[in-house]
Amino acid sequence: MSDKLEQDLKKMFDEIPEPDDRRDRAMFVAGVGARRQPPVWRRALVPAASMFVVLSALSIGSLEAAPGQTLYPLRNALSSVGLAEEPVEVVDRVIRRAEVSLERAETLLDEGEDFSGAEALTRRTLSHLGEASALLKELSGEAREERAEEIADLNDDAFDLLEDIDEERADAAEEARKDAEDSDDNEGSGSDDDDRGRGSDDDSSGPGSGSDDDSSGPGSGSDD
Amino acid sequence: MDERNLKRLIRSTARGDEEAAGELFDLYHPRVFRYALSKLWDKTAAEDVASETFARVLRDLDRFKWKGAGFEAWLFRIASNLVTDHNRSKQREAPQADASEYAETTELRTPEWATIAGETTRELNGLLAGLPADQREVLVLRFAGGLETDEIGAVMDRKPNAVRQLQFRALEQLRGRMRDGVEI
Repeated sequence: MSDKLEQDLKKMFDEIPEPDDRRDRAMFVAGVGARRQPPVWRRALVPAASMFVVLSALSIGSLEAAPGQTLYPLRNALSSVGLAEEPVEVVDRVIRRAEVSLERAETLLDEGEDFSGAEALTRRTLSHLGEASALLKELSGEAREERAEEIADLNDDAFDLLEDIDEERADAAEEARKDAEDSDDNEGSGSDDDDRGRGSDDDSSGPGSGSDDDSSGPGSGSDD
Repeated sequence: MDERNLKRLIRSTARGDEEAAGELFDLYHPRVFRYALSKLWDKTAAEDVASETFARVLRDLDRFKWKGAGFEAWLFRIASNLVTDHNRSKQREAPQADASEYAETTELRTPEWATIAGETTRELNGLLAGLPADQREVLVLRFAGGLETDEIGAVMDRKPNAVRQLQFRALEQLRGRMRDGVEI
């Protein structure tokens, strides 16, 4: 417990009037406010996003860069650190794209509704296969032979599908033409039918009116 | 204010929270000013020291790490260094003056609050001026700055036991002088 001397000392210092510190206070508070910075993540966002976009664009652009192209060295560099696919992976990915578009073309053809769509997908398949063929020179040995066979098979399938599409389209056109003829025939016989119908209507109008008369009879009869 | 809330206040100030900055200023500026005035006996100089202390807090708060005696020790260390710098510059301005002349000069600048205060305050004020520098420093930090023993030790680079001894001797001297009715 503090004695009287300590209490007097404390009282003495407490008696010191507070200074007029409004200006200092305002400056300190303003200084602190001026130092306020956006959160670290926000400060880092713009440069990080810019870097990400640039690197992504370069990386994506370089993934399939062929020897001699500007981005080929970058692709090799990315590949060496595991950030880019190996050439065999690139070829396989392009072949998969060809397979997918070929399957979608076959589906469209089976549905028999969109021959143009099926043809476009098949041509896209051929384009992917051409791309894969160009990348084959990156491969060697067994891997290259296997992919070359796979590309050749898919190529055959794609051309077969194009023929099938043409046949189906021709068949569909023939069928449509027949349908149109049948329709015309139906329209011609249909007019006869109409005539017949109208005739029957005429025929039936007699009895109908007769029955009307009949029915009106009792009705009027009962009214009577 | 407990340590947890003080840490929160300091963190908020460091992040740029103006409300926290105002609270921190209101909490410590009067204590720093009292400490500086008790050391310098010059209101204008004490205001300058307090102002510069908070300017340095503003500048260095990002680098402040709460360790040992904490924020108050760091704050009063800044103030103590500024008081020392001020005294050195005053001595350079008056190189011919010896210690007694300097003490007389500072006593002549006894601030108004001490002059118009009660007899006990005036007496204590004079007695404090006669204490050895380190004993006086302990009492000023303790009673004007409101620091605890470990915080005073951190400001003065002394161990807590040494601070206790200095405080004990200072108070004993003051009691003795008051008992003896030493002329101030």
